[in-house]
Amino acid sequence: MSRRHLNEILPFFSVLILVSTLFGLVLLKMEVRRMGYSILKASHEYSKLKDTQRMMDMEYARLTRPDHIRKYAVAHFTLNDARSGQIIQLAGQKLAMPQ
Amino acid sequence: MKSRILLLFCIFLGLWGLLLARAARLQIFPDVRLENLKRRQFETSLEIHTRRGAILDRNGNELAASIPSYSLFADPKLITNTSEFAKKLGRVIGINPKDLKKRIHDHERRFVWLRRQLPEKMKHDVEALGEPGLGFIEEPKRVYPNGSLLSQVLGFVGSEGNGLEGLELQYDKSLRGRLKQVLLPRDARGRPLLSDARSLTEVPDGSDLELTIDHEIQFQLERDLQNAVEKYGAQGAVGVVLDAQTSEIQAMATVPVVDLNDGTHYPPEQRRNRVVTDAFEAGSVMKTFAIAGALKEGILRPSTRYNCEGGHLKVGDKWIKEAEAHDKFEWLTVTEILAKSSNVGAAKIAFDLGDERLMRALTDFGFGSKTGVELPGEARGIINPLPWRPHLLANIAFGHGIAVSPMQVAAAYATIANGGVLKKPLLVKAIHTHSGDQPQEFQAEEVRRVLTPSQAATMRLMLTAATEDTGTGASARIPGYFVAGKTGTAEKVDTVHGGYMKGAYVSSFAGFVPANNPRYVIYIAVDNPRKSYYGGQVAAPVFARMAQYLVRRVGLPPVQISERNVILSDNERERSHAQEAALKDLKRETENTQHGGFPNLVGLSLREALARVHAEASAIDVHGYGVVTRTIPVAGAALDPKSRVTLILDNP
Repeated sequence: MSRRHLNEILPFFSVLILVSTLFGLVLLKMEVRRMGYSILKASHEYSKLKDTQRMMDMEYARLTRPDHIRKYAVAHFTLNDARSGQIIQLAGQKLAMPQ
Repeated sequence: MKSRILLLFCIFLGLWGLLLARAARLQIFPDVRLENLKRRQFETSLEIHTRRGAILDRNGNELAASIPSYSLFADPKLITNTSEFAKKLGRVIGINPKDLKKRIHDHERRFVWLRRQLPEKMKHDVEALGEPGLGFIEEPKRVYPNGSLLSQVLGFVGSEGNGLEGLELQYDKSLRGRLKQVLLPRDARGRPLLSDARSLTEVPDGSDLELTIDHEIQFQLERDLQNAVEKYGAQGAVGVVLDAQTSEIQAMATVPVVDLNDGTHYPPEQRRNRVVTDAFEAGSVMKTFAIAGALKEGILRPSTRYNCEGGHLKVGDKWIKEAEAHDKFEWLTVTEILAKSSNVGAAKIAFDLGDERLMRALTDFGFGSKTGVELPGEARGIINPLPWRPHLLANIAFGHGIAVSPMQVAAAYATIANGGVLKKPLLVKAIHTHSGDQPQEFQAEEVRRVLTPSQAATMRLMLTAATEDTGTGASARIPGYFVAGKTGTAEKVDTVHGGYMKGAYVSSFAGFVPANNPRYVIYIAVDNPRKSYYGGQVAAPVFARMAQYLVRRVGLPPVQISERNVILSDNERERSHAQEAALKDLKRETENTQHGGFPNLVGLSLREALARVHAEASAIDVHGYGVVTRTIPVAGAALDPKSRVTLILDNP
């Protein structure tokens, strides 16, 4: 390609580069916007999941509270409080003591 | 023509110049009004509700936490048919339609709360109605998953989420999250444009409190106290369990309890944490400190004897008597004074000590000043200023005429248990922030040394005497362990009319277990029990149950092992029976010999039999072979040194 031809298409390339750059900038801006919406959605979901976890922690705490476990043991496993003499404590040296 | 064109050009140039100057002014010089206008047009503000911190026990179990809830409001101006609206909504949110109608009656109002803190499901049900004029505001709701457990210690929050009582009040600043406001650019539809999600997810939540409380020990304590209240028809009861070495509070209860999820509906006196807020005359549990004071001053030793005057001592124009009329003690050692809880003995020790030194002993143990536990409304107790009249001095020695709080008594017993150092009881172990910082951890602070380690050891030994068979606190004993402690039975002060209430008592027991190497300090006080009132009968059994539970829970091996309380294996039982039989024989023989009788030789070989009798008889006749089956004289008969002994042997 001769120098003359090159000089003829250079303005065209300049305009093309300028337009592509502007177009790219617009696309980048749009991508930033789109990601912003995704982040917003994700952060809402994150908060919701955190709340759900809190509710489940609460439920777990409710279910494992000592009086609930005791009531459950009495009602479902027919267990009851140990009376004096029913508990045998190992005292070492092959000895066991009723408590 | 040319001049006209030039004029027009100048006019337009001037106008453009003005426009540019105005634009430059707006850009360069700030204008608050325009800034606000711009902010309104391009920015949106998001309010993020932060979570109030949780309260956890020492094992991380949640005792209080916040969950999201939704508060429902109405704009009455937008509601057209109020009757229909109230009927439909009332059914969903559980409010009487008539009440609801009254609330939305005024159409001039634009905001009326209908119901606060609804759960998420109810919110969806309300939204499904599709009624105009309704809206929700998200609010955190405080939940206490264990219901009434540790109620007076935790306290509760108001409808605005601010702490009103207990730890919720004391640590409100740490627990409370801050309302976070985030300014974000928005798009044409008003949606926020985010570039950094952390602005929404990193919120300044309130810090979590980690307590020294163990929720299972707490449950056991509350249950035992409640059982005692029901059994003895008492007005209430308080109890506290401290780690004997560190003074960490492992349980602290006031019965009757309150349901924290509905805390404001209980009367204030029931919401009070009486372990720290109430001061009362504790009775004989205070004798320990008068004796400890005297021991420290070198006035007495455990074996020092005091004449207890047959149970009556006249001080001025008043008589000091023992708790029981039939207790007519004469000479008792200091250990016995503590074990039998002699008022006269304690009074005499106080006279030897004097008011100044007794006052110093009591203040050294922390009475008369706050323990420093991290709870609001702590009582100092009441100690009368010096000088004390002799009668008051005597009374103070056995726990009357002085008001103390249960926490002070427990901390003072912990001083004896840990070797003589008064420590500040610790309730909050750590504060955990959500910003990723290191948790703020707390340790029990030493206040002062009150006793030397050997004086504390002596006191521990003396206190075990109170739980022996002859002591007043025998029912505080648990098999296998040494228990140290002291009973208390105090007349209840009439705060309205003055003096004491007739027939009303506070029964208590303070002590620690195991006495040889204390792990737990327990204080129990039962308020105005009706069916029985002695500390040894009412409070000591509660102490024993708690102590037994605690030693089992931490797996402390028993140390007080005797043949009576040990279960043996089958082989060992047989061996034991054989040993018992042999011991019986030996005992019988010994008795026979001691009484000068002929020994029982039956079952012995000839060699063994001869070894026993050859020194006691002048001549021995032997008939047959094998083991001795019969003797002349028979076993137990009087033996004349000159008589003949005949041994008849046969094969076994």
